[in-house]
Amino acid sequence: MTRLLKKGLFFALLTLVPYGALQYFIITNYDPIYTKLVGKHKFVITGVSRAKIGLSPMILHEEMELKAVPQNLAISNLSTPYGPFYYAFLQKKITIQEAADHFHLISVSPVSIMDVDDTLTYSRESHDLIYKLQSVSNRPNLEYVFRIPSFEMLHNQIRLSLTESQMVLKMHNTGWMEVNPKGDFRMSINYIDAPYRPSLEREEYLRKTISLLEKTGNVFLIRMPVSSSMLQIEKNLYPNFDEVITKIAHESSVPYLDYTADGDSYEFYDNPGHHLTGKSARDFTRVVTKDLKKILSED
Amino acid sequence: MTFISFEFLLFITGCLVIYFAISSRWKWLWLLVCSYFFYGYHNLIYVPLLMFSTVVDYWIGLKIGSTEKPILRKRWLYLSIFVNLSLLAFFKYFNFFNGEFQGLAGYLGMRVSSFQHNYLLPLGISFYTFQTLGYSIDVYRKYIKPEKHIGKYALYVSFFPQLIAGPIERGRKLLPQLSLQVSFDYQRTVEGLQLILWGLFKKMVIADRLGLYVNQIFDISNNHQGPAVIFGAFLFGLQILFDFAAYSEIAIGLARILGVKLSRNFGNVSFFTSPVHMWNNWHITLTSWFRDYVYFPLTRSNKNKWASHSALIITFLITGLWHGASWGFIIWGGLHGIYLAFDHITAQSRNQLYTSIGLEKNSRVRRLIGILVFLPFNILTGFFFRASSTSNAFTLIERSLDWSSVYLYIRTVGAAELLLIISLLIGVEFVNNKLGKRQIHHFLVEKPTHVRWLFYFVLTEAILLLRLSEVEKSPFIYFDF
Repeated sequence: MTRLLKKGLFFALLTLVPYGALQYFIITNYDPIYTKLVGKHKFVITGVSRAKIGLSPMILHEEMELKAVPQNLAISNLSTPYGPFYYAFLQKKITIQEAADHFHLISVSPVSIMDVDDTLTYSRESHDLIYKLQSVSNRPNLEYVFRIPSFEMLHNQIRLSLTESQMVLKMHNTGWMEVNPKGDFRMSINYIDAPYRPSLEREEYLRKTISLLEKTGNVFLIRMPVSSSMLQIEKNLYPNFDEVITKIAHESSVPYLDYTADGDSYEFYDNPGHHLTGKSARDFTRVVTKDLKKILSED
Repeated sequence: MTFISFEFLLFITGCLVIYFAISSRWKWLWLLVCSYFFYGYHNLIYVPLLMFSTVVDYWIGLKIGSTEKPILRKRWLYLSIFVNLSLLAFFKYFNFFNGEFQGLAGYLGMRVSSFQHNYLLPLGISFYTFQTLGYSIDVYRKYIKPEKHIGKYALYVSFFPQLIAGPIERGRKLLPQLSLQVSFDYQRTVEGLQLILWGLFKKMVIADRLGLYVNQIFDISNNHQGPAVIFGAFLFGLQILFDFAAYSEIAIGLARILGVKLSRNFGNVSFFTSPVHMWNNWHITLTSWFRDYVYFPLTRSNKNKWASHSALIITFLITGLWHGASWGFIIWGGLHGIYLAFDHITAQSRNQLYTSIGLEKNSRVRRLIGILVFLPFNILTGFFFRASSTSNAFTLIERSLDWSSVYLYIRTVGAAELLLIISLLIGVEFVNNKLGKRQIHHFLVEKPTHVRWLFYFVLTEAILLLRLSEVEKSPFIYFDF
């Protein structure tokens, strides 16, 4: 048996070392999720994909002369709506260190506090791999490197670079995904593809997320700009969403910045528009920065 | 826990460490505990059912063996058949037949109860009931003496490597091995690991990746048509072959490590030249079970060849029904029975035709012709096997005939993925050719060390790099039966 164990150990090293090295190379260069699974952060941005794509942490850092670069921890409607999984994830990601100049941006949208009807609550994100990881803040995150097969990622990257892709995607280390469409291309989407309903449980987790992040800095609720057609869709989907968020903001004593009124002044890469192009994301982040500076100086 | 899960890795490690540490006297007990733990981990509620089936057939076996009176022996056998088939009938077929009966009653204007039970199909029930039933029949036929040790009999029924999805073992083959007078053996363990590695490669790299294309095609809402649908059904045939063969190989490998030899369940074949070729190489233990316990009894009283062909069709209708409670599976089985009967009827004349044009039995050209002739049938039956319902199967067949749009590439899978799949299939076919009739461990044992290690390295890296993500991966297909 000793012979078997020795050979087994040798074989494990022989296979796992090159595998790990290759995985690490592919993931750190091509995986849009990996940056959100390493390290702890003083400043965070949360929410779904419109925040992932629409808010540039580097611009926040530069314009506000922050001591650290915020990390954009928003992923998507399927992965990071407000709920117990995302809450537990954020608990592991923030640095527990109170400081007056820390702040966090919590992006809100109707689907981020809604659930799909006739399913178990939280079911749309409960199977996400990021919530199965033991650690989401190790640097490097070896568990993720070894667990996620990267062939698909590499395959997609090669395919995108070889074919005439209609959009240029760049994942920044800050967790911001910059998306720029080529020419006049706009991606048509079917936004509402499931029977969503307001979720009291998710609203409660939004409150809990605010309380969590308030322990380490100022919290701002942000509603990202969307096109007027998307705004109408969201009004039909969740008519009193604005009132609900305003109430939560008031109860938690945090500012609520609603940028939906100016939606048509920005450029979106999809139709109906709710994901900002790279240029508009930069412009929008500067607008947010100005408002944050104003609020923070008034305090 | 499936064979390809972290939980199973922990389970098997613990099982093996203690297994080889304890005395041979208690190895059966430890394996029995592990087997019940393994089964209960899936669903604790159905453990009593497994126990019930075990105890009933153990007792019936003793009763059959305790008397020489044919009429009494037969009555005990009938009881075993009744109990085992009743379990299957209730959990697997009740809702289907009841639903059909309700439909017929409604058509005739009759009112009947609309009762349908909500019990899940107990995992492995189709396999272990057949295994225990086969035991009872073998005791009745005096092929085997009844097992007196209830613990070893319980282990025979619940032996975890083959409990959920076979191979279906005969009592006369497996029971004598369960005295387990084994100790750790390096070579036997290596052979078991080789089988497991080969099985993991077939499942995690080939079968699962084939599933990416197949799932898209068989999702009726995707509206695929023409060659893509035919190609999807073709790939499904390969997917289920590799998926199930992989499970069997892993099961055989695990058992090998434990010092138990399980029956071979699949040949080293990806493409079948005829229905006979297929059923001699596909789910061999099930085919031989139906041959010995259904087909032979049906033909015993009437050796007439038309009776034989009818018995063949009936046997395969039942085989189809064994796979699942739906008209799709019955059609699948029936078509195979009809084709087999046709194959038997025309065998001599086909052989004469081939010989007259110089194509001897094992010629490559004849083999290729056989594959090309049998393939369309295999694709057709694949629709009924895989589609989510019989009506969907017919819809897909209809769509496959619509060639207004001709394509194989589907955006969600991609050309590179297709190329990868085809390359992998060519690679496996190359290895199959080298293997011939041997299993992988018999083939590797004669190779030099560096070749073996290169083989292990390539397979392991392929598994690590090409497996699907935890979200995408699929369970073994035969768990559904």
